[in-house]
Amino acid sequence: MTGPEEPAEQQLTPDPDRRRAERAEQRLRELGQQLLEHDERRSPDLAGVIEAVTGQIRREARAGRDVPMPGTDDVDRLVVTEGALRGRLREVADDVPGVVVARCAVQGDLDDPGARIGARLAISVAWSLRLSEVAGHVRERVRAELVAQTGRPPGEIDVEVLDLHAFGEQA
Amino acid sequence: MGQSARDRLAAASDELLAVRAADGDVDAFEVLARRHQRLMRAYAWRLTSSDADADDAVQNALVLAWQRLPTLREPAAVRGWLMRVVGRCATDMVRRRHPMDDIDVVSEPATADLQPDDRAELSGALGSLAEALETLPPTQRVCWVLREMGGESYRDIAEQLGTNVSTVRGALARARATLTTAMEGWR
Repeated sequence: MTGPEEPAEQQLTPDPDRRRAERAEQRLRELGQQLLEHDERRSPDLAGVIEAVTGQIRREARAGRDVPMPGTDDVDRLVVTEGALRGRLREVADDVPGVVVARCAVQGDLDDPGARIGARLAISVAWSLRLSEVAGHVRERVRAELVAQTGRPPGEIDVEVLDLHAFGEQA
Repeated sequence: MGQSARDRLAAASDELLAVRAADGDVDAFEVLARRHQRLMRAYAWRLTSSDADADDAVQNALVLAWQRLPTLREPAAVRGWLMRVVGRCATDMVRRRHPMDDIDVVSEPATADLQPDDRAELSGALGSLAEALETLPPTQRVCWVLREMGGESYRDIAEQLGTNVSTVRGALARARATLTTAMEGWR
């Protein structure tokens, strides 16, 4: 944060007046931090503001590409959007005990209704669980959901474990 | 999302939530916003001295944060990043209300809408600091709050205020002098 333009703040000088000024500055800085912490504790809850913003975001959320389902023609083609599909995959993977999804993307030729469709996920796993078992459960559920949502043959499901977390704590 | 999955999201680390929100998940963004809203609001209030402006600054900052999250390079540092985003939004509001020509004014009492119970609840050195901050001209106060509460560099402060580093240094020196005098009884 401190750039070359403000070297005086970082140096202790032998000048007693300057030292006094630096001590006063340091004291002010500490009080400023305490004041901010105090303010934070008594700030009003902005639930209404947050709901307004997230409501707007949800309405504008990117749908992504259309993923056509097999057996339908161009005239009345059934599609699921990529955005909705990713949301569903996140949900089913989150429902595996001990899993929180970090990233989720679908892979494959989305435009071709006959092509295989797969997914790529990065997850965080509760530290006490067996990673291979958990990743296997995630793969199974994601595969089943992909088939249910798109009616296409399943492709590769890549699951990467990003980190481990202690459940009930902010890891 | 099931209840237990929702609980796990609420307990997830800032880093995980930031990665997931950047990936397009609004639920994760909402958890992040709820977790850090009070810090954002507190910082915005110290910059704007206004409840309405502080609320607006937080709202603008959340919209901006959602759009810019994919560019965040250190997701674990999302709390500090959100603070910088809301700092910019709040500073913009102050600039709109108080054009920069008052940056060189030595002393001009600000019109703050101090919350009525603020002084009563804050006592001692913190109370004196809060009171003295409100007597600073708006741009001096903004410089001091960005620097000492937000940890912003002189260069970033100058950029946000549309001025140069030496002007910021001058404004900060005057702000510190006023605040130090006001705090003399609390050394």
